[in-house]
Amino acid sequence: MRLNIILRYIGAVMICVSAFMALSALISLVNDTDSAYYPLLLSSLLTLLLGIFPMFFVPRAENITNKEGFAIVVGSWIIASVVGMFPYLIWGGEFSLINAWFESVSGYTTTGATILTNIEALPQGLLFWRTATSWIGGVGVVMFALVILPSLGTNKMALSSVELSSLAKDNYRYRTQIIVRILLVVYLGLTAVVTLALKLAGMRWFDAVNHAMSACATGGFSTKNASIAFYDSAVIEIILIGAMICASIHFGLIYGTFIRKANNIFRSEIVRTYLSIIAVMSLLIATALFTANLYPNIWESLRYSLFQVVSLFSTTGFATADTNLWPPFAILLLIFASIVCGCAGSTAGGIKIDRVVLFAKQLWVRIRRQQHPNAIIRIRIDGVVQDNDIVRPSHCLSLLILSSYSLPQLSTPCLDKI
Amino acid sequence: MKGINKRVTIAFVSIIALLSTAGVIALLELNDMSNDTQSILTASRRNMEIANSMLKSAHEHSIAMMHVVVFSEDNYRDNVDKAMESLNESLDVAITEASNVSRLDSLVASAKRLKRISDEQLEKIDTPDTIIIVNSLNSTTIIGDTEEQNRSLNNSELAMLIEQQQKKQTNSYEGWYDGEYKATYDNLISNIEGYMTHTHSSLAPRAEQLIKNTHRSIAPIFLTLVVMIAIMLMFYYFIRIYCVKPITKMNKALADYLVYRLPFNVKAELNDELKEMSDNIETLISQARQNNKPQ
Repeated sequence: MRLNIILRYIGAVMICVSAFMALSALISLVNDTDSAYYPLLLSSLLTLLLGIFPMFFVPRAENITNKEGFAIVVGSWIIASVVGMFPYLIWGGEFSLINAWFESVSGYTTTGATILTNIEALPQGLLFWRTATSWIGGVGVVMFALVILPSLGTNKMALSSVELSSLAKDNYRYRTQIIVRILLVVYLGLTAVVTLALKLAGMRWFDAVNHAMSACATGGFSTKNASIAFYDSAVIEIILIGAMICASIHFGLIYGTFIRKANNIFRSEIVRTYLSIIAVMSLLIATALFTANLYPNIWESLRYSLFQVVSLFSTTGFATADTNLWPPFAILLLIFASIVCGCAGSTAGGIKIDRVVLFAKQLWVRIRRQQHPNAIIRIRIDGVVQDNDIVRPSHCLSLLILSSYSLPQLSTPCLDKI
Repeated sequence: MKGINKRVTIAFVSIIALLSTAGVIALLELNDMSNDTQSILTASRRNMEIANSMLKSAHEHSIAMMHVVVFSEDNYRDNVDKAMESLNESLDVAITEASNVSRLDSLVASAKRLKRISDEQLEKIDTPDTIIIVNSLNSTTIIGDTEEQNRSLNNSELAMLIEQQQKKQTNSYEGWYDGEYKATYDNLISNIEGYMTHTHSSLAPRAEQLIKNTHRSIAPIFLTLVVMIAIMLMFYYFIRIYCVKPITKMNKALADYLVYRLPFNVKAELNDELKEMSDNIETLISQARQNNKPQ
C-alpha cells in the first residue's frame, strides 16, 4: 500500500473542501464581511495547503489498488471532518474542540444533530459552511473530487466502486465513469430546482439555497431555530417534501426517468414499496392525530404527518411540529420510519428500504422452500436475480446498523456508574 | 528550476506564506480585541466621571443649601446656583451619551424635584410671613397676617418678637432641610448610583463576550501550528522516499559495483536531478568499462 499515493488523492479531496470554504468566505464578504470571514479564509488556506502539498511531490499513479482505494475514501472522510472543524474553532462562540468536531462530523455524515442553542446567532458565512459540509457529505466527499479533478483518470473506477455501495451500483446500469457524472448532474440539478422553487415560495435567496442544499443532502441543517416550522407555509412544506422524496430515491432511476429509459422510478419495485409505505404511514398517523384532536381538521393532520414521515424516512430531520406531543402510536411509526429510511443510491442514510425488501423476500423464499424443499426459488428485485454476494452482505450490514442503535442505550447506564 | 529544487522551494514558500497569513490574521484579531477592550474601558471611565461629577455637584448643592437655609448665610446663594447648574450639565452629558435614554428618567425627575424644592424654599426665605417695618426711632409697625400684628411696638417688644421670629424660622428651615430636602437629596444620590451600576452592568456582557472570543486570536496560530506539524511530517516522509532513499540506493549500487562489479541498476521514480545523476553514473560506468576493454 503506497502511502504517498493515498496522501495525494486525499489531498485532491482537501482541495475540493477548501474550495467550499472559500465560497463560504465569499458569502461572508458579501454580507458586510461578517465575523466568519477571517476564520473561513484562513481555514480555506490551511486546507488548500494541506491538500496541495502532496501534489508537489507525488506524481499521478496509473493504477491504484482496492486497498489503496479504501484507504483514500476512509482517510478523506476522516480528514475532511477534522478540517471541517477549523472555521468553527477559529470563530469561537459556542464551539469548543469537541463541539466543533461534533458539528463537522454531523454535517459530513448528514446526521443533522447540532450543539448550537441559537442557530440564528451564527454569521451567514458560517451557516453556509455548515450547510455545505452537509451537501458535500450527502453525495460523498470523494464523489466531488472524482468529477472536479480530471487528473484522476482511470482511478475513478477504483474510488467510486469503494464510495458507492453494491446495492447503489445495481440500478445504474452504466459504466462507472458515467455513474459519477449522473450522480452529480442529478444532485446539482435537484438542488438548483429546489432552490428556485423555495425562492418562488417566499424564502430569501440565502435561506432557499441553504434549505435546498440541506434537503437534497437529506442533512436537515436549517438556518432557523424552529426549522421549517418557522415559515408556517404549506407551499414550502410541499416543495421540501418533494425534494426529500427525490433525494431519497436512487439517482440513477431519477436520471432514467428524465431520459425515458426503461430503468425509471415508475417501474422500480423498491420505489413503489417506498412510496407506498410513506403513503400508508402518513394516513395512519394523520388519523391518529385527528382522533387525538391535535389539529382542527384531517387536512392539517395529513399536512404535518406527511412532512414528518417523509422527513424521517429520508433521514433529513426537518421539523414542522413538536412530535413529543403526538400520540404514542404515531411516535412508534415515526421510529420505524427512521430505522428503515430511504433507497440505496440516494443521499439518505439508515438501513435502506432495499435491504428491508431484500430481507422480506429472503424470508418469503425461506417459507416457500419449507413448502417446496426441492424447488429452486430465487430472490428477484425488478426481475433481476439477487445472488448471495449481495444478499449476505446486505443482511450483515442491516444487523450492524441495528446493533449500533442499541449501543448508546447500553453505554449510558455504564457511564452513569463510572 | 526543476525537480527537487522546485519542489523544495515551493514547499518552503507555501509554509512561509501560510505562517505570514496566520500571523496577519492573528494580528488583526488581536487589534479588534484591543479596540473592543479599549472601548469598554473608555465607556466605563466616562461613566465613572459623569457619575462622580453629578455626585460632587449634588453634595456642593446640599452644603450650600444648608448654609443658606439653616445658617442664613446669603453669600452661599451663588454656590447653590453654580452647583445646580453643574448638576444639570452633567445630567445633559449623561443623556447625550446614553444608549437608552428612558433609563435616566428617574434620575432626571429626582434632579428636577431637588431644583424645584430648593427654589421654592429660597423664595420662601426671601418673602417671610411677617414684615417688620421700622417707622421711627421709637416705634415699629408690623404688617402681618392678622390685625393683631398691625400695631406699633416698642424696642423691647420688637427685640423679643424678632428673636421669636428668628427662632421659629430656624426651626422650620432645619425641619425642611432634615425632612423634605434630605429625602429628595437621598433619592437623587440613589438614582446617580443606579445610573453608575446600570451602565457597568450593560458593559458586563460585552466584557464576557470578549473573554469568550479571546481565543479567536490564539486559535489561528494554534491551528496553523497543527497544520505545520502535519506538513512537516509529510515533508519528512516525501524527502525520505524521493530524495534519501534514491541516494541511498545509488550509493549501495555504486558500492556493489566498485567492490563486486555488480551492474549498476537503479531506477528513479521521478524525472528529476536524481534520475539525471543515476543516468550519468550509468554512463560513467559504461564509459569506464569501454576504456578498460583491451584494444
